[in-house]
Amino acid sequence: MHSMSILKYATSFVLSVSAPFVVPRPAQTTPRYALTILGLVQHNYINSDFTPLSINDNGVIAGAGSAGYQGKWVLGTSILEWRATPVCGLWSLP
Amino acid sequence: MTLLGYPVPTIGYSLALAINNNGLIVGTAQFLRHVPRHAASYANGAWMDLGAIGPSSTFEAFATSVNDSGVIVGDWQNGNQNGAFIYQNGQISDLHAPNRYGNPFINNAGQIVFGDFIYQNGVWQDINDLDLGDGWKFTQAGGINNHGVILGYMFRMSNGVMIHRFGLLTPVVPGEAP
Repeated sequence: MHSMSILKYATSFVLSVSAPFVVPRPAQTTPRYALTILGLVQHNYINSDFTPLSINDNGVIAGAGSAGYQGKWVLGTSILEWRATPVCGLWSLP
Repeated sequence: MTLLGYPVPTIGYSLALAINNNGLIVGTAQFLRHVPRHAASYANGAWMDLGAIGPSSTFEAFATSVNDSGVIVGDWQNGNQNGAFIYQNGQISDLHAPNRYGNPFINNAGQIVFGDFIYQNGVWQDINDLDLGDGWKFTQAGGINNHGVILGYMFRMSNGVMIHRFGLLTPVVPGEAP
């Protein structure tokens, strides 16, 4: 289970979807939590592979990921960050 | 850059996994040859053995998060057994967590997330007992900040297709227990 890497537990998930982009949005209903879906790494790539590793008190998320389409990875594994914006969440290279 | 080195140079194994705002670093290290890795902390130029849950000859322990009070959490493994531990006041103890894999995380309020559970006030609660809306199921926590915002992995079914996403759970009242 444990690897020698700092990513020892980080689970990498390949996300394959037909919709080109899912805009992060507030939760529907919960009395205690609001749910925000982070979306995909690159809005125009239907395959995203992202592993978030940390969140700070400003809500900035750091992780690693890749993006691609039709089975081709066009971006190598990169360090990424996610920030909430007034419009939607945004993945970017820091 | 500062190299953290190893507690035992001739063995040569250490792994840093988290740091708090006071510079306390936690992770895992090997303190004896042919003995599984123990939870470890690093401060003032030296590694410290935090121990492990159960017999140190078979149990491994990894410190994965530390808050600003110096309370450390992590996970332990022994074969197919695994769980979460807490280290505070110089003692390591089992949190008797549900059987989950992943990294436990702790914030300054002492809230701990592990897998799809949150621990607070001495009780583990399944996050999926809460209605997250739209059929989303929370499966794996990836962190919790000091506002109680939980980062995690979740899924839902849509027309027979499982949709996977990462998401944030933000307390409606910041920092409030669910």
